[in-house]
Amino acid sequence: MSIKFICSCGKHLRARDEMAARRSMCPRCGAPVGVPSLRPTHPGTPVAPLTPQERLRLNRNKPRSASEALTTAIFPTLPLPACSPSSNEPSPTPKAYRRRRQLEQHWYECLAYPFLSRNVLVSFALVLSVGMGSIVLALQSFLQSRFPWIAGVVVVGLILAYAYSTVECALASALAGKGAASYLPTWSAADPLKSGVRWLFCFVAGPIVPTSLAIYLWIYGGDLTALDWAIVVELGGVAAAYWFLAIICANQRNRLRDANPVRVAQLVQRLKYRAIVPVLIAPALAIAHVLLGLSALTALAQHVFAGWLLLAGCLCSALFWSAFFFRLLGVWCYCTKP
Amino acid sequence: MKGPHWSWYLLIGFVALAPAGIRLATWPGFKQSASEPQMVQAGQTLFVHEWKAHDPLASGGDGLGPVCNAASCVACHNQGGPGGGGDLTHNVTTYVYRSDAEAAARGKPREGVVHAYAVNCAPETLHDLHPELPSLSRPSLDQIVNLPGNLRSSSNHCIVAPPAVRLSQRNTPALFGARLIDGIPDRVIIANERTQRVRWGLAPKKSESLPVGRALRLPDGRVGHFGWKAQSARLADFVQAACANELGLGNPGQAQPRPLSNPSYQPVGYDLTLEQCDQITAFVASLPRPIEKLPEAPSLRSDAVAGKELFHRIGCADCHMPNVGSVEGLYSDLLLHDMGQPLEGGGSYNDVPQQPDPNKPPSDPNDPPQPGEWRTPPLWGVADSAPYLHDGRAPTLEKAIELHGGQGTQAARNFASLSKAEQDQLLTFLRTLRAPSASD
Repeated sequence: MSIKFICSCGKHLRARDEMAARRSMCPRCGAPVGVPSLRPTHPGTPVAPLTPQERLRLNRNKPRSASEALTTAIFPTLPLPACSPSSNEPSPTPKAYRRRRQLEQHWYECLAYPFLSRNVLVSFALVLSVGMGSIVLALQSFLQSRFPWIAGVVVVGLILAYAYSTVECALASALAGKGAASYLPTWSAADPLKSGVRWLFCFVAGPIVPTSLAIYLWIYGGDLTALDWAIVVELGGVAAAYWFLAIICANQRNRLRDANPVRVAQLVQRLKYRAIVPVLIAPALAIAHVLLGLSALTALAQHVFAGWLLLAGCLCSALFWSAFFFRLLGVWCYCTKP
Repeated sequence: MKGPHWSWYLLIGFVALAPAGIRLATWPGFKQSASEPQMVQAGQTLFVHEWKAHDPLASGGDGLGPVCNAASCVACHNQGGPGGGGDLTHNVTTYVYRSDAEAAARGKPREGVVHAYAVNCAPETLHDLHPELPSLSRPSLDQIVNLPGNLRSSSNHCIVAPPAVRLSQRNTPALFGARLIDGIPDRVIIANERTQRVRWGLAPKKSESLPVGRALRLPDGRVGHFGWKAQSARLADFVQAACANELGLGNPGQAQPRPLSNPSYQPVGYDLTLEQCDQITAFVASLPRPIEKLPEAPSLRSDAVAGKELFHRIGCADCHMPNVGSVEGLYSDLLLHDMGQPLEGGGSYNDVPQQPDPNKPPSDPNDPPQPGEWRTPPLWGVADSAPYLHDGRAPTLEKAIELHGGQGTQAARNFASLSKAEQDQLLTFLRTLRAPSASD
């Protein structure tokens, strides 16, 4: 028998009975989540989860386990969200949430998010740069001697999935109205893989077309003129903008089928003037990072150290800005929730 | 709240789609224009014509010479029929001479051809080029290049050229199927360059060992299609340069060379008009493309099929790409590849775009060809165009593969690592690439 419950980010969770009324971490948004109690909270009512107040009261009278103490140490001041709609507490409005959970009030406050996650983001950037650089150097040096570079691609793909998952935590936690803190995914391989699949799906379900056209034009368009560069940038921008928006749509209800043009258009309409961020600013930065990354990979062949340094810097910056933009867009989406 | 007027959306859509629309409208396609039969006929007459001094066909100029390498086009281009390749006896000797003064001023060195024959003047000799060189007018390949013992055809000693002079030779290339190469858009050749770079992990534009070539951009922005150094963008340019340099027939596209022994020689006028050049170009363009002819014997046929698979597997097809754009069976990427120090050869067949600055790193795609860089020769018709490599130093296909260096080193090593039977299969495949006359 297991307890089924839903995190406020929308993730359907399952826990063993002995975890009842205890705290755990949501593998999707990385936020602490309360496992519902098996005991009725009031006589004569059906089984319902503990409210945060009840849980705190219960915990005060109970010796804490080592893992629980660790979790609390990581998230010392973060109040737990209500986990179930059947809670006695009335469902708070977004404004009430923002007040109570200290959700970022201004856009610049979201800049703090990547700083709070700096250790993880920088670590991912360094590992990714080593992995990607090694693959490129392997392609240039060892491919003819049958170097197992495909294995390297798989490893880098897995690390990339973890990185996506980390960035996605910023979005999912904001969409769930969880306050400013650093949210991290679990180390289980399943969730980052799901995250990687979600990003891949969102890419294949649309942005792959303009991206392919841009690559085709770059390869087969001869020496690119200013007009060609305008088209390449335009296609890249469309691809990046749609990808960002599709990822947000898929995360809102944790449904892949929401990554479709109708939902994306609805999201743009909902964001109003704020849509300039995912439609223009974020894609511009994404294109700049792609170009910088390609330059770094090209430079690797001639100046290994400089190339690697540039690549690490580029990936660091990319992860930083991704976390910021997803956090910001998540907060805006939460605030404009109908 | 009232949204923006629909015309705004229309305007934004129009602005967004306008660049793509313009690009689609101007997208260059495969150009292939049929030549008029009269032009081809007239061109054939000029192609096989034995030119003389003050030839009546060269109405405005001095006719053949004053310096030349042959008296007609077909004298060199004759293997497998008119328009084919030539043997070693028709090799052309080229030179690069950078004097101390030119080196100090970082000026352009003198480049050109030491012609085999002279008309109404003293023949050119190597001594005319530099006083330390012998008075030799028609040096053989083994006098120019220090070939290994098994490739030396005579007991001649290799000439030791002073450091300021670099001598080299060029073998006559076959012209079959030139119209198809001429029609390949520049963007297709540049695409070959980019796909090779991407395939080899975003390799730099100039690699010493990876098969990553570069398209030669001429100063006018066009991409080189013809010549051992890809120095001619179009067939018409190539023909005009050949007429001037090989036969001494000056034309509006290329001035005739002045004799080394008489640098002050002034031509009286053009030997060929632009129309005559176009006629020769039309004839060359009318030459049929080489064919891929499988052997009759079933065992050889299966060997050829297996050899074709090996050709791809060991990496030959990385540079000798079977198809380029819509041209099938070309077996070339038309890119310049660094073939290593032993195959270096300077000197230009006609004017190179510009001289590289020795202080500039050789990574600019607009740099002229380096001494070790050669355009991948198309392998169609290779079975009927021996000897091989730019100066014909390889008498057989096997030797040609063995001599691949630089970016071709790995493919040559892969070939050497094959069993004898597999090597024979690959060579059997190469022998199926025949000149058009083999179809008769």
